[in-house]
Amino acid sequence: MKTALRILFSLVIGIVIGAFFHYVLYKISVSGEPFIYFAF
Amino acid sequence: MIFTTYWFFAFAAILFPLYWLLPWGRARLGLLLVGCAIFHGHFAGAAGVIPIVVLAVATYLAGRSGRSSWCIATIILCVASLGIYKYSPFFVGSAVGLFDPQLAAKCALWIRQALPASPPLAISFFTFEFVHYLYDVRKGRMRITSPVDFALFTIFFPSLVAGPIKRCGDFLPALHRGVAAVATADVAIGLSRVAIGFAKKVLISDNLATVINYYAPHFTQQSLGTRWLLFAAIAFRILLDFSGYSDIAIGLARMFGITLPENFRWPYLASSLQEFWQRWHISLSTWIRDYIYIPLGGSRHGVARKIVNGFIVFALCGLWHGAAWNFIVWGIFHGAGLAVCGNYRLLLGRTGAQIGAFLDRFPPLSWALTTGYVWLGWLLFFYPLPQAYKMAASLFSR
Amino acid sequence: MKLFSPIPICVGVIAGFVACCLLGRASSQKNIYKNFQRLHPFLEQETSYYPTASQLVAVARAQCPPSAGRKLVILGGNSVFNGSGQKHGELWSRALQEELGDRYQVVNFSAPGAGLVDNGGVIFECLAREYPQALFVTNTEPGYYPAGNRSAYSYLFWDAYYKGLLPSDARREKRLANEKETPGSRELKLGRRMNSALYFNDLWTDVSYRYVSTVWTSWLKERSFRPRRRLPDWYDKRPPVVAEESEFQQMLPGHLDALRHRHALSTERYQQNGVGAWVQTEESLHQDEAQIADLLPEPLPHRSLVVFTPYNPWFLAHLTDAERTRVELGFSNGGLLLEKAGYHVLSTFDRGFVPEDFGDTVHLSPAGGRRLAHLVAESIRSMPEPNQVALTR
Repeated sequence: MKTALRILFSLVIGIVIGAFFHYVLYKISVSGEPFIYFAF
Repeated sequence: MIFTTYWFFAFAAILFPLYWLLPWGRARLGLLLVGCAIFHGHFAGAAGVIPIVVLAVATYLAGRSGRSSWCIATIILCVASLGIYKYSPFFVGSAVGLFDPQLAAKCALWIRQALPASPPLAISFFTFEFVHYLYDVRKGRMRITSPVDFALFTIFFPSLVAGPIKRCGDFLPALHRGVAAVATADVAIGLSRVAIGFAKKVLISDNLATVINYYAPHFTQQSLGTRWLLFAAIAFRILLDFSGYSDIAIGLARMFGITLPENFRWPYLASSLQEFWQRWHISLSTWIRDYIYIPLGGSRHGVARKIVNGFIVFALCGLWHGAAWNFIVWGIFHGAGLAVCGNYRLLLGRTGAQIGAFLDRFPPLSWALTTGYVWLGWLLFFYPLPQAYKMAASLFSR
Repeated sequence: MKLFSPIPICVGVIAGFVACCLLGRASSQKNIYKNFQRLHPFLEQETSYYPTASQLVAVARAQCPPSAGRKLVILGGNSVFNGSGQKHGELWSRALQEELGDRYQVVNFSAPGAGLVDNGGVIFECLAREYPQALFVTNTEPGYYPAGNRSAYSYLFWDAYYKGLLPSDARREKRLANEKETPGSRELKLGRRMNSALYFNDLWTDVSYRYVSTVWTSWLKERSFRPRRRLPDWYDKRPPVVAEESEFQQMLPGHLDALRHRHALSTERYQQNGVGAWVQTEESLHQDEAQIADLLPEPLPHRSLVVFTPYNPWFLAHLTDAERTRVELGFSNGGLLLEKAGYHVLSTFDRGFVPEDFGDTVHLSPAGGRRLAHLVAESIRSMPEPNQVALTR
């Protein structure tokens, strides 16, 4: 049971992370002024 | 920001699966080197790559020779390169400006036209890593013989642009462990860490930056409550942006199976300035301690020398962040704070001891004083001195 | 890692990402902009909102289903056609719809600062084969004919391009292949190419419109994170346009100076001939001709009406004689060049516009919008029926 919950929880975390990376690709195209901290 | 580009996502989407699918460690090492070279070449361009290659070759050869004179000469070469590329317009402009501001402006413009449009990408980080390596070679602590290892130490792309500043004694064993075998756990942890970094950066910090850029020019015209909110926003913006970037760097490295050192440890929980600098940009503060503060004598020659060393170190720390007076003032601000923080108990005798005991009994007060001091420092970091002063003063007036 | 299992995390990352790609693809086919009137500031890039080409195509399809038997009229152009200053109830394109009646469906894709084939022109190209009777109506000023990939709205062009929505055009492919790229344009194109496979812009723009926005903008401030569908047309909350001399007086000299810097008046485009008359330079004529040739692929110019929108006569009266002559010359030459390239042209120079028709130098008051709608409707009705389109994709 614990293992199944752990797997499910991990899967959900993974799905959230995957969806978030998809969102980051969108956010790149709508970024305002990027704060370029330390390009050099 | 380099990690928030489509090129980088496409690059990572190709590189990481190839890396994971390769069955041999040596092949992974080679692929990683090729990937890092492509990354550096793409973002630095020829004008940025050539100086770094020259410095890297010089550093590698000096390190291989093990000769103290060569190491010292190459350290000077690296520091001079950083000085010329990043600081020469500022130094010349400031020095000449004492006598003739118009001539100073002309000199600064001439220098800017002679140099590339921007300094070589990540030259500050390269310089610090080369200096650390050569210093340690001189002390007989280590020597890198493999050019592949040295090249990867130089241009490891996750930490190339904004740290953490690597130490080769930690990095190379981690590199070899990583390329030998990447565990699924490494990939999962790395992905999670990268996601956290992007969340800090794109969800929160970028929005804070837009808010701050909009309101900061009219800071003193806002209500008192709004001014304090903006003050907090400035502090959190830099923390989330910088620590987010470190999270992404550490996460990406972990996805290769390589562990990089932590760079931030909840710095705004610090209850003293010393503690703050043990939690903020840890790789920088330890580098400064090991390669500037301690060689200068550290705290081994009495309180006065310790305080002077602290001022020098933090003025240089400020200057490293940017070629402008407000960065130096920010550094000195922290040097002064550390001088007081670290010595008031000793120097103020019984009064100092009583103050110290009082602060020890009320940790939230220490925390509030530390946080307030650090956050005021950010005004100096981001804004010219007159503006920073006006903003700070307006926090305590209607 | 005791609370988590690494393999399900990795599987979940892939599953979550792929699921979002599929959701984005599905979203791109739907019309999410119910009751769409125009791309007002809260629906376009001034507030960091970038509707995709697929989404705008879906809007046009929803407002004018192919089976409905209405002739689709797609509007492009800049803030004048966008009805800058007009509240959505006063919008000139609504007046145009009323003038044209039920046989037509007007869809306004103009946007502030857009070139004449931006936005609306891109969507017109996407739908030209599906709607062989569709017409494209746009506005510009003489001397300004940027191609679809050369403005702040170029993202929409590349979105349509990489999704394969645009008809193929050998001339355009050759031009694009020869154009010099900048790091910024390469990154923009790469993003849109990736979007054509992964649909991240489509999905998260949809989410921003319907559920929650995640970008703070100074236009919206505390309303930044509300779903865009809950935000009314920006112009509706603005004070009404005051088309009076006292307002125009306050705009001098700034607006007059801005007028002098417009392409139509630019001294670089004109010279005086031997008898002192102003003529357009050969160089600028060639340049205009070349730019016009790059606008839309054949045979779409024959289904397109370009409107040279008017300048406020109150401000024109403050120009010198030479400047007014250049304006008139620009309107005339521009019209001839566009007609030569197959476009239908409506020049509004000397078509009865009065100062009360304007809110500033170029933007129309509701009255001016109604006058414009009448003229445009007349022109549309007089356009010949388009032949069947021989477009390839």
